[in-house]
Amino acid sequence: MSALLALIRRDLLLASRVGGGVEQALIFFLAFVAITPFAIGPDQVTLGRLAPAILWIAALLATLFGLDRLFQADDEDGSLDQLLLSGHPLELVVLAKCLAHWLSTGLILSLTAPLFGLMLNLPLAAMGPLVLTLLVGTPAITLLGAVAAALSVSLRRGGLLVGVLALPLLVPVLIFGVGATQSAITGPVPFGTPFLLLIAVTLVTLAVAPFAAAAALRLRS
Amino acid sequence: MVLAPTSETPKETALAQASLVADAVSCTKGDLELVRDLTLRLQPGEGLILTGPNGIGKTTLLRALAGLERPASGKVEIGPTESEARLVHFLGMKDALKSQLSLREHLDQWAAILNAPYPRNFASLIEAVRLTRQADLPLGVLSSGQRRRAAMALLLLDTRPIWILDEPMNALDQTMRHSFMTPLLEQHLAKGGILVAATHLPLGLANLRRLELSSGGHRFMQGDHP
Repeated sequence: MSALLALIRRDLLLASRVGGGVEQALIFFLAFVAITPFAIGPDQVTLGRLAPAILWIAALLATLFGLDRLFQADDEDGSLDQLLLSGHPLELVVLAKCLAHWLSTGLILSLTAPLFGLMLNLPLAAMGPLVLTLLVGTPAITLLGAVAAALSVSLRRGGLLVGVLALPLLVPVLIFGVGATQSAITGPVPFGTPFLLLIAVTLVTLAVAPFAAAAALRLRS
Repeated sequence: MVLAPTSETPKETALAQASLVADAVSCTKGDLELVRDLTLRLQPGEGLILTGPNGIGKTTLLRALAGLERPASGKVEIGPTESEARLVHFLGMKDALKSQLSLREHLDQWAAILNAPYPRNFASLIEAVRLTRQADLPLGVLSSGQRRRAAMALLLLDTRPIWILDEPMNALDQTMRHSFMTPLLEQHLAKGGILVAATHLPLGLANLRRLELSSGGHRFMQGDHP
């Protein structure tokens, strides 16, 4: 347990030193949200109706952005070898890295999402559901992205591959995340139905992804 | 074999019981066969150096011995197998140093991850690798010789009986080779540790065995790098 915390602390420290993680994801999110009204047009009703979808796609891409480095940086400088020799289960190492990644991107994005929602005229009633669905859904994005990152760890230009591998798996997260947020505005499905399915998707991912990613890392050469 | 000191701690007992056995190990890189049917057995206090031209498979073999890669055939056994302690240190060209952290932070992170008990400011450890003045600089600004020494600090932080090193003498100047690396390896062997090192430079140690890899096969010899 203390090793898990130590690993999370290390990744957060490194993320803050590189100045990459948090700022990059936030700026990507901001850029995406700022630019869509120019494409869709200034009609506030249309914007408000599309806002949940836009915000969710922005959060999805912002979380995936840079995720290819999750294991690659440690692989390149030999830290991954040291972690393998540390005797900790690799699944635990993967989980710790995912947690650190989520704390520095998914969590921040979820909590700042209402601000971006305002820019898209998202109805006030949907602010709470938006934050809730993102809080529940972004861990699944990080975890599934981690599997893709582990598979592409030895490829120098794995960034695109991570997207290609992870996006099909992320479709259910997107459907239930947007669905739950949308249902809070328009109905007719109650918020709970898609939200519970989103929780289920995240829990399944949490149970499976660390093992899949660890297996992929063991196969790297 | 050298006897462990009388005032031995549990860790040092573990040191004197470790063994490294390779049984008919073959290593390949893609379709290329690098090492064929290598059998070796290392007991506490024994050192083995690997020599041979570039690309002959020294690093691949070291990684297989460390358990980081599975050999194409045969098996590597690191003992005592029932031990739950960490047994192997592997240090290669990739030194696991993050350029944006200082040496003190690097050690602090790894001490926490490995749960290695050590005084908080690591002064004695940093002194041992002779980087006291550079302890709080980002590791990225250190010279390659200083980085090598910084990387060795991890081996001193967490006591493990088997050291597998890839070119430990590289980048070190003459003085550091004689006054830093050689005594460090000597102490490790004297405490009952096992050493396997690939090297192009003499380690300056007595009683070494040498494994020479060449395209025709491998053979064992006595003595340090010529």
